Amino acid sequence: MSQIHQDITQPIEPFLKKFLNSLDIQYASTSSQYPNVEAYATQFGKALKPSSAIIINGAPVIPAANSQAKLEFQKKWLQSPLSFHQLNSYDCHLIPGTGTFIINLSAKVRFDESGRNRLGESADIIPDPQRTTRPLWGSWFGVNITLVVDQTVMTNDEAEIINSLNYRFTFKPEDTVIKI
Amino acid sequence: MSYRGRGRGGGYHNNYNNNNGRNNYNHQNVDSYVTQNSIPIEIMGWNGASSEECINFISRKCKIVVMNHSVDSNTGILKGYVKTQDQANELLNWSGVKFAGQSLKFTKGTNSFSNKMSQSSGNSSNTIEVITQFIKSRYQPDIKLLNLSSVKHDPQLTSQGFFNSISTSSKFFPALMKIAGEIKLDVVSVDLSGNELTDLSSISTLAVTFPLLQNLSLQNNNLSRIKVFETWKRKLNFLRELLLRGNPLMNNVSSPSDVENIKFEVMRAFPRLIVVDGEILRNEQALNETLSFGFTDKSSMFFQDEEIRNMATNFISNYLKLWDSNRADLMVLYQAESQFSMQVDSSHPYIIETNANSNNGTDFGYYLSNSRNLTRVSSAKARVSRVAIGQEQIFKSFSQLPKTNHEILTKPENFSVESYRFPQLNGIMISIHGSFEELAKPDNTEGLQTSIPTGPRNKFNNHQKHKTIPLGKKSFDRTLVVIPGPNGAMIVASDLLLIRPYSSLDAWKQPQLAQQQQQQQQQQLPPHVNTPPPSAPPSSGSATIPPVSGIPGAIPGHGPSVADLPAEVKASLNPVYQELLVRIIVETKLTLQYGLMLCEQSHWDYQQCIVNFKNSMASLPREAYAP
Repeated sequence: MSQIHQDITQPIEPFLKKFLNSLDIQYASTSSQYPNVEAYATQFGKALKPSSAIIINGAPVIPAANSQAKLEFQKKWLQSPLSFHQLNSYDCHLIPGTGTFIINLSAKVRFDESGRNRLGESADIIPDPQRTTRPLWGSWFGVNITLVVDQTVMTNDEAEIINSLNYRFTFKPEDTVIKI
Repeated sequence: MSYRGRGRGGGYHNNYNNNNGRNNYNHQNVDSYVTQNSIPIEIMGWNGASSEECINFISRKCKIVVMNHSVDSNTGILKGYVKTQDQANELLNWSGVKFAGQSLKFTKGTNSFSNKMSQSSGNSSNTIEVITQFIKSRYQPDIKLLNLSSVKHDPQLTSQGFFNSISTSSKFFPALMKIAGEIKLDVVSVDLSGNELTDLSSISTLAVTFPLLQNLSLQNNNLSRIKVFETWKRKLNFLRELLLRGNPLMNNVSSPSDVENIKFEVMRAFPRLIVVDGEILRNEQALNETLSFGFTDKSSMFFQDEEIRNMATNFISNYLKLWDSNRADLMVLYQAESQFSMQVDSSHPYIIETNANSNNGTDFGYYLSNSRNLTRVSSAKARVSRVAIGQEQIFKSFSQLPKTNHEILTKPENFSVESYRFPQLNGIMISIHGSFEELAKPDNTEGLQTSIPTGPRNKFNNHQKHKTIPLGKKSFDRTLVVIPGPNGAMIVASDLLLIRPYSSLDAWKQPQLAQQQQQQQQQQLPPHVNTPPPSAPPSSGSATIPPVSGIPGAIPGHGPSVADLPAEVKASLNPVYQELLVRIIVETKLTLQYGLMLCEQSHWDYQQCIVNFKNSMASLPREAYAP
């Protein structure tokens, strides 16, 4: 219990930002280049444990045979438009005796509505010469995320430490082009 | 209604208004409310930028929302409506404010919409009647086409003198769009060919009335400027096919690159456009995949298994009932190591309600002094002290929050829940998302005046001693870790509450379009036909509703059917719920009101309804039963 009386939550925020950033990375950008799609996709939520419990909008991510939830999550995330998350708020409790933190965070997220997928491929049959590769961000969605994270996040936030991820859209803008 | 994210909004996203047919079922009431309470205003000197930008500017600068705006194509005056006379007067005081290099001038409009129309053709109700009849005569329900081609040659309209003057004809389409929105036709295609249109200003509200429009013909008009589609840029987000033949725009091209430019222009304006004049511009399948969230399954409720469903639903309904009635009764759930804290996300996206009574959804005065939003609370002392540990501290925290009402029993569809195992403690995690109404100030307000800003970014704690904090609606997310205690009791190990601005549009709901279509299909059935129970419930919320077809017994041939339900009840229930309600009424002989109550309290579970009915039969009053 004594731990609760000191502030042990400082390392959580950088960890959460890293986690959200990992969902938002671009395939080809000035800061990063990936040798292939697999190397790119396995960056999404890389702090998840391979068999994490993952629930997205009330539906569990169920891995195919011989696969794992994390991989299935990454495959589906790859099929989603390029995203941009912004952490608005978070709070957390260290649960005594479990070695885990419960983290609840509130964020907003917007998606690239330019018609390009995450790999930069466009569905346009004649490419528009004026169009840049810059994302065309839509309106903000609201999202609430609950994570159960190993206490070891305090010393090492690069490892696979997320036991469960519950990702729920709490607000959908009316003018979005994206179907959810 | 304007969307607002954190800080200043802006750009083209912000001017959805209320006639877009994607709103909830009480949209018609809202609409008549708006009409009754609309004060027309006129704006001059806005031409430095687009009308949308001007309206957004006014919303930001003057904090006044101008609704249903349109540009009078004769005078160039930007017209719109505000809610109250006070707002109109306030806006007049803003005359002279600089916008896009010019001074805006505000005046009160003298004519309401119906008056304007009546000037030209006599009685206004007659005008609306004529247009309504016209729309109905031009609507083909089998292909969901609204055929508005060559309206000036329509004998019915010309005989009414609709197009005697230019000003009347420029008002005709805006009026038509408004009325078309009110009668809520299910429209997929609109034909506007042969209407001598030189630009889209008179039909700009098409995008508001039919935001989900898929096919549009503008053939044989006088469109000549390539930039003409700016009006609808990113507003017809589901437009699939566009016909432009027979416009100067397409005829006067001098080089192939001109044609290309037109295509690029419309593709930029309409993100889901596939075909223009028969030519395929995009790979439809690839586009649909690209513009979809990869996780296509969704549900408002998730329970890992049946045991968790029972535990979680019982827990939540009892917990929120006591939270609303007497929080002291909740303390049995908390022990010495239990933790509770509350955080505020004041910048969560939400919709500004311009016409509901639900204002005050953004005043967090009762919450901020205890908020443990760790992105904002920087001092270690505050970060630690804002977690309440043990019964005494937790009860104090609870009593510092406003008294509330959660409508989880009467409107479970406004909530969403995920519940799954927390193996580390052999317990379960329960996450609830929804909204509540603040009914009264907190029992304990001692913390309010002494609160000190705790971080450089915490600029909200500026409540004056005498300022009353308004009550309103809020949305929330709450995550609890619940573990089994001795004798079947439950213990809350951790309780994280997040408060955010109220938002009525909930992302987990069934798409409004699908719901509308279902309702329309339901309404189209002849009143005496008994609809068979659907074989599977709709995907959203399916986790809570067992397949109706599995229910033993059938509705007897006589007695009420779904078609006999009052329209307002039907409008608020999906078809599966409607069927269940009718079945319950037939089998229990309860009145509609009590039947509805029973279904709601039994979470729309047939078996649960019957069990609850049997348990409470003895205590039900006589008037609970149908005469």
